[in-house]
Amino acid sequence: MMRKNKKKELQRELSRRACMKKFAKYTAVTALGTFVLLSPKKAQASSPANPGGGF
Amino acid sequence: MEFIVKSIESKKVIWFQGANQYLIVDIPFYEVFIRFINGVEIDKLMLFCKDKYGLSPDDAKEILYCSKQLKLRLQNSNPKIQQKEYSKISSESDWLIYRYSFNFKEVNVQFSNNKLREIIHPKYIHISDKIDDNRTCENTIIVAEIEGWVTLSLNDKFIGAWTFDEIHLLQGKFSMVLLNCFNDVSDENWLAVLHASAIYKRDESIVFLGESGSGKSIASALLSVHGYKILVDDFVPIDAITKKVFSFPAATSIKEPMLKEMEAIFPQLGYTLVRFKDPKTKFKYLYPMGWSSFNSIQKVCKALVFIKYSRSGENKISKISKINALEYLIPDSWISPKQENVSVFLDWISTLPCYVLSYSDNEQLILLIGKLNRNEV
Repeated sequence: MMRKNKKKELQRELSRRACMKKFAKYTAVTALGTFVLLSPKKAQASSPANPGGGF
Repeated sequence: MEFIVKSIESKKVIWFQGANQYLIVDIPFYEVFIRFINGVEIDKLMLFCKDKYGLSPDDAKEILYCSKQLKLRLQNSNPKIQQKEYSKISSESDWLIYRYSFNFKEVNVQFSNNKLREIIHPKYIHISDKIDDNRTCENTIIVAEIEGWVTLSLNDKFIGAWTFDEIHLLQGKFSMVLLNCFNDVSDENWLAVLHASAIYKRDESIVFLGESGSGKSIASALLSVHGYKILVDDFVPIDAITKKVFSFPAATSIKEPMLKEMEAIFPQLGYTLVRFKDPKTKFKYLYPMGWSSFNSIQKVCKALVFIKYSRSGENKISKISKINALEYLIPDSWISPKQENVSVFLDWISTLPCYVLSYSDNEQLILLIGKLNRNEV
């Protein structure tokens, strides 16, 4: 059970890191915790004409 | 440096006005960083790191290095982008002219050629009438191709110009201008426009988020034949004062292979929705019947649901942290850069329940959303 929870936790952390890598302008893990710098879209946009992969 | 700080869960979220960027940070780092940008001396900061957090000199130096880099990024971001400018653009006799009607408002929309019409118009066919005369309307939007640029203007006021590679930005801006015309407002009346879809039942709406292709539109369409109604697709405006989700009458676009699959399971789709096929993109547009007679609808947002469709996999819905939701939502949304609106936006998010929903089975999707709607998740 513990192992399963750890695995889930790891998966969640990995998907969070993937998100940060993809979207973040600047991110770091320091001795006092993490930070992530994000920019919203500069203008309203609609979906690209050819939708890509999964979430 | 002007900024707003909000505590959300165990983190601090800081919005920097000049850069229009959001920093999501653990509280200990925040405590040092905020002192750094307020000009506290380096020696005092080193001492603060040691006394309060027991950091070694090397670790403290690293924190200060990161703080400096962060400050530099915030100061150097937001470069002025050179925008192509055009003065008044006048329509010509061979232009394609339509009248779009929604919320008891009429907007005259003019395209300089067929190519531009095909890019924008399919989503609005159901609220439009082709007109030959150029009868005066309160608002006139012109989409024109000039020297390889696509320009957009409203009532003779130039709004912007984009290349054909940036056409999704033109489509987004066109939607925003139309939304403002239909509601008689301007950009600053909106808290945000989310890249999402929303459905509603009675007084509450559920907003589906996720990357293009994650199944937001399909989920909305499926739920629209199971007791819910589509409020808006792809472009979800949130009102700055009421924080309600507004309707917007753009059609739902769905890729053709997915639609066939949906029709096999829900044959009634074919009867409740009219379709228009776009031969180039292989999209089909689903038009809810009777849109043009509808007034604008606004619904309270019950939850944000990050949706993920896969052909095989678990069907489940689970709560996620608001910080996790923000990390996905901020880079994928237009958020008003007006200071008051940012504050309201962060307060709004901090009170909203957020979920991740994975599904491979359409029936299960309907069951899971039903559970959410009955507060059983």
